[in-house]
Amino acid sequence: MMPGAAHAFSKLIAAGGGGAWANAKSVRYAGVDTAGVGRTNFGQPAAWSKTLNSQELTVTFWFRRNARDGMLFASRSDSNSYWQISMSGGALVCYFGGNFASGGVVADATWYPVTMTVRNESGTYVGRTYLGNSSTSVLNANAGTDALAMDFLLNLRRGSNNTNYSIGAWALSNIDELAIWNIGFTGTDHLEFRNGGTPMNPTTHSKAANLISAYRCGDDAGDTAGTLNDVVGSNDGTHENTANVSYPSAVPP
Amino acid sequence: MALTQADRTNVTAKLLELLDQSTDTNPRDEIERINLAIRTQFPGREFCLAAEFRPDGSYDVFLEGVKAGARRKR
Repeated sequence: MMPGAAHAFSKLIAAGGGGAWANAKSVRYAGVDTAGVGRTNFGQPAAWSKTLNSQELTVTFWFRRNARDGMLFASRSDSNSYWQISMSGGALVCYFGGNFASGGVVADATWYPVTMTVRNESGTYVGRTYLGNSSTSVLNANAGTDALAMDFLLNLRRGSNNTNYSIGAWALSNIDELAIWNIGFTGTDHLEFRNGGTPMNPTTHSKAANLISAYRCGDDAGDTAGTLNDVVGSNDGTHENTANVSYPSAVPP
Repeated sequence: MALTQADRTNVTAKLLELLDQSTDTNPRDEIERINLAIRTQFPGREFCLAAEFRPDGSYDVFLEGVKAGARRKR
C-alpha cells in the first residue's frame, strides 16, 4: 500500500468515520524463550530511520504491563542503541539515539499512553518521554548519535547484530494504537493523543500531517495472524512466531 | 513516591558504589544492570536516571538531571 490519505480514509470509514474510533482489541505477545517468543518485526522503514541529533521523530502507543519487564518497542542491538522503549525494575527505560534514561513507575495490569519523542528545542535535539495523564516528561536525555540499521520490533529487540535477538528481553505486554510521527511532540500533544483516557483516531490529531504510520492492533481488517497492518503508510509489521501473537479483547483504559 | 533528600543521597551513594565495582565491558549493559540494581533497592520510588555516552565507552550519569557519577574509559 502506498502512504496517503486515501487508504487511511477507507480505514476510517470502516471504523465509523471522522473522529469515531471503535477499539475492541489490542495485540498481545506470549512465549517462554527468545527463539519462540511472539514479536512483530517492521524491518527498517526509511521514514522511521532518523538521525536523532538532527531530526525529529515520535512514537506513541498504549501499553499494559503484564507482570514482566522487557522490550515494548525498539530498534537496537547490544552494541549500538538507536531507539528503545522498555521496562526495567517496573520503570521505563528509553534510549534516544544511544543515550540512556530510566524513570516513571509502571504498574501491572494498568493501561498507559506513552509518547517517546525527539524534538528540536532551540537547536538542541532532546529526547523526552511522556507517560499517562501528565504533560510533564518523565524522562529526558540529549539525543545521541549511534548507528542505525537495526530492525524495529515490538516485544523484543535485536541482539549483537541484525540477525539474532536479545536473550530474555521480551515483555509480553499488550500494545494498542501504535503510531509513528515524523515530528517532535510536546506534552500538550501527548495529552491530545491520550484523549482523556480513550484511544483516539490519530488521523484527527493536530499533528496528523506528520503521521507516517499507524496500527489498530487487531481492529483493522488487515490485521491478520501474520501481519500488523499500517493503516496510514506502507510499513506493515510481520508477526514472528505467530502462535504466540494474538489480538485479545483487552483495550485501554 | 518521589525521592526525599535522604533517598537522593542514598541513591547517589549506591550509584557510585556500583560504578566503582563494575567490570562490565559493555557500557549499556552496565548502566542497565546498575539501574535495575538501584531500582530493586528503592522500589516504587519515582526518579530519573540518565546516562550520556561517549564513543570511547565512558559516560556520565545523571540523577534527576544532575550529574551524579561517571564511568571512565575502560
